[in-house]
Amino acid sequence: MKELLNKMRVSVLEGEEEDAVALAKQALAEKLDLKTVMDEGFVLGIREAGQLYAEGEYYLPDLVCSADAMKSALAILDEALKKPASGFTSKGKIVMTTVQGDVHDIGKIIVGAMLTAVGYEIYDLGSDVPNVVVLEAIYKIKPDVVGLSALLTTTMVEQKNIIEDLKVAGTRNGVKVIVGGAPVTHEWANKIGADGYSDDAISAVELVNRLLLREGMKA
Amino acid sequence: MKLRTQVLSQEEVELVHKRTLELLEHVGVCIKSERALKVLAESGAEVDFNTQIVKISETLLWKCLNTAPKSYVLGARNPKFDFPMPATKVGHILDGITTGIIDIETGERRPSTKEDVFQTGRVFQQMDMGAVAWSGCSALDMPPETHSLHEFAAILQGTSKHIQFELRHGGESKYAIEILKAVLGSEEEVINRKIASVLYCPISPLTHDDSMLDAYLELAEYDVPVNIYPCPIVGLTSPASLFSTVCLINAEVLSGLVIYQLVKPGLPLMYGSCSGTADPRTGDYVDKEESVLISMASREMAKFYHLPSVLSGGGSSETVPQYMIEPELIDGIGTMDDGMTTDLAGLVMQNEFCNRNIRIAQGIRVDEETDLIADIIKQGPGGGFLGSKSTRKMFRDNSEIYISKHFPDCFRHTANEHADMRLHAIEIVKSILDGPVEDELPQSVQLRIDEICKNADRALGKKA
Ligand code: B12
Repeated sequence: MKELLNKMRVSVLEGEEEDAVALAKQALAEKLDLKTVMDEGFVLGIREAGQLYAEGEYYLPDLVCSADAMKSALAILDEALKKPASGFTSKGKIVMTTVQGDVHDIGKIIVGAMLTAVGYEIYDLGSDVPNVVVLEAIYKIKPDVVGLSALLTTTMVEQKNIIEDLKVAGTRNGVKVIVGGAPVTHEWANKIGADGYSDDAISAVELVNRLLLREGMKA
Repeated sequence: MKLRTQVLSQEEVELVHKRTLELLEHVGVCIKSERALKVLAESGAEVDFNTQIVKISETLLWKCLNTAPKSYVLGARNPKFDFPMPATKVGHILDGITTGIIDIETGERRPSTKEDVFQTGRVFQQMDMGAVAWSGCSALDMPPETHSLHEFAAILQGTSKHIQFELRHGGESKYAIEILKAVLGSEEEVINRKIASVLYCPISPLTHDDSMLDAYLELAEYDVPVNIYPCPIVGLTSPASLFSTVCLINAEVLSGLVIYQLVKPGLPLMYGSCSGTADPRTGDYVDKEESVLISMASREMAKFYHLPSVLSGGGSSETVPQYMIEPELIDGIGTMDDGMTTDLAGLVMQNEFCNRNIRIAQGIRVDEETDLIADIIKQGPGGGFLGSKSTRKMFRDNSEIYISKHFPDCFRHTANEHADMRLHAIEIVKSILDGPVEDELPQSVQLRIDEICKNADRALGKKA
């Protein structure tokens, strides 16, 4: 078992998606304890990848390959992990999207990869997503945090609009809203009543950690 | 001879073309505009309306390349600035569209306003290397739904050179045309003079979005030229190789060309190239060595199709090789922070560097005028040339001896060269802004433009 767990760790750390998928399938087939598989296998790998990135050893493509391997393994284990019996809980659900009218999705993808790398569950809605679709997703997924990315001075206003819509619907308090994108600033975030802002992926992780008040987590 | 260079051999150019056809014919491009999809389907392209994927055959491609004009003039409000395509001399584009500006008084970055767009235009007007003004900075004090239109209005008033602007959605098109009509007097003049073109970025890889495309297809009826300007980020939205990025850019420009030519055969187009390389740590878009080479290769592809070209980059020593490949236009003067901040003093300095670099690229001219052996014979050993007629003449000819209009040679090679130049540049900016507005539009036209902008705000802006 130890050797298998190590293989799982390495598959994610080295971003070998096919290996990660095969190992996840093996875990299901052999009915292994999924909490152990996650905590001592895959999750260790993604944490280490995040750590290497923070230390400057890993480049972004290395991190993204690790995040992809992690996501694919999770997709295989998803159903089983959702059963309470699995004992596994994710660190939190985060909806990420680029607002309507805006196609710039690179920053959002990178922030998503970093958050995946520290163990959050990311639901990426895509780019140029109509506000109604974002709101529907928030009702359906019930995320802890929603991250709104906007790169154009003409689309930043949608961050504000979504926050207002949440207020109107009476669901504003149930979710933390964080905003980002090149033209977005702290002042703007405060002005529109967002819960947080960050200008890069590492501080986005710190921000989410802080907002969800979870201890003992490193970027 | 002039300094000349080549980054792709003839076979390599043909290989890029071949690879591009593989992409266009077999992979296809995603086109989100219903109007474009319909026109493409009617013209025999293979269109899947569900996935919005369009496959373009070589025959259709060449048909469209044949209708794209090989030469035309980018007009200017003041005809003395008309810019012919293909160009006889490279020109620079004012870089846009930033979200902030370095305040000329405080030296601090602050959010930009419509007034800043106007003032940026005025400084650009005085830059001899500047041929085309993109809108510079954002009019953040205007409603978000219409601030592109306000930027267009402001830059048009600040400079009488050719304007390159952008719109975000179809609703804005008719107001842009109204503004051009207010300036030029009639619809015919809008069509004939072409004093403004638009900037169109496909979404790498291989996607054409709908809202901006629809807006520009409306403008095509007025023959508004389009700069098709892919901006792939190497390693992020294009593969991490220069050659493949050149192929991708080529496929994006050509698929854009097919759309525009089918909607409006004969519409003037520009072959643009604006790649960056991903910062390996942050993914940020960085304009660096690779972009220089990629844009040079794009220039060679443009030449292969007989299209005028617009390259990114500019204003630094990295521009020298780009001059050596003779594009018509090079973007990229007037901003810093990777295109996020307008810097007017920087604009003046970059204009200077462009002049210096272009002098180098012009190389060594050998003709009757420069063959001054007779002068040497006349002076003989031990003589001097300060009093020679030829010296007097050549010191007035920037294509032989470059003498800066703005920065005396005492600024060169000192310990604080850049800092000193900057202080000097700030003074130049201030003196331009304190002076009169060159080619100012008549009051009545200015009022009419304001009225059009207000109408747009009312119609398109969110009701408060
Ligand atoms: C690449 C790019 C494009 C690509 C986008 C490709 C893609 N798939 O995303 C293409 C070519 C398609 C494009 C199109 C356009 N673009 Co563009 N684009 C850029 C560019 C050069 C880089 C953006 C980028 O990806 N940066 C890299 C990432 C990693 O950085 P980032 O997005 O800022 O994200 C980081 C942080 O901001 C933060 N973050 C981001 N999101 C979030 C979210 C949360 C919740 C948090 C916490 C943090 C966070 O963390 C990220 C990681 O560090 C910028 C200029 C610039 N220097 O930023 C212009 C820029 C944003 N674009 C601009 C413009 C004008 C356009 C176009 C209108 C151009 C045109 N005429 O076609 C169109 C608009 C299309 C549309 N409807 O959206 C302008 C905007 C000006 C303005 N006033 O708003 C800019 C500033 C360039 C310029 N100076 O003109 N663009």
